[in-house]
Amino acid sequence: MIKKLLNAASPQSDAMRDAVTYRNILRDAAKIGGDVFGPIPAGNRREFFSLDKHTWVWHEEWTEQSGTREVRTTRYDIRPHGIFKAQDGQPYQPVSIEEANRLCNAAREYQRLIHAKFDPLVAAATGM
Amino acid sequence: MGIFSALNPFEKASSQERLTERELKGVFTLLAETDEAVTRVELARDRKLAAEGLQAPAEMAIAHTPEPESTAAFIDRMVGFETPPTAQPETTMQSAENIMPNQPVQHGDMAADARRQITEIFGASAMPDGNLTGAYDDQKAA
Repeated sequence: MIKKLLNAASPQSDAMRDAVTYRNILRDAAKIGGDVFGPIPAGNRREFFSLDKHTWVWHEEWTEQSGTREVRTTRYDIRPHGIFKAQDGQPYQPVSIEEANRLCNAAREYQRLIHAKFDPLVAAATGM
Repeated sequence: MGIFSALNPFEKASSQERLTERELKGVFTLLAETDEAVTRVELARDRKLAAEGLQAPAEMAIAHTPEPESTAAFIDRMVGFETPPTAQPETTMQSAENIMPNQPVQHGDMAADARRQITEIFGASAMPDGNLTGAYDDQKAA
């Protein structure tokens, strides 16, 4: 009976562990991505990452001089008909060419940072 | 070890500790998704440039950009809001569909999924008003 219960629970646990592990890796990658835009001011939290193949996220938290804690999340969706962004409750809107260029440069730099960090680990783990 | 490992994958980079099989799978997924995401955004940018008869510009020095006087101004400058977000014209679901005539009507579900993922990653504070997607959610509610 116990064995049966364990077998039934096992696949779900594996999937859950996979999801938690991936989320932790993504969270760390997002922190690395925060460096893409240069030095992060003290007290700020800045993260930039690709959520999936067609979504980029820039998350920023900071404290205004008044002491108010501010949060702004900008999300870019890459769609067949263009690049669209949404920011903290604002409707989707297409991005300008200048912004598309900045996003591309940021994405490239993020890719470079992530590979620089992980490629040696993958090589060590796979013996390549 | 696995997810209960004392060191996360980034810490392992400096400790020489090896990735577990589960971590390796996650890293492979991350790298593949990132590479694909970069390709997609560049293709989308190039299509936009081509549509306007332009060529891709030289790489811009996005890192080391001097910080402006405030974080809010920095974000607005980087994401291209010429005016404060509250002054942006309202975009309805109808007009968004006009921009993307062949896009399947699934934005609500996609937006909800992305919101869930972002909240999982950053915590509830990442979504101060619980709505990052505006018109799509309004349309879904209707």
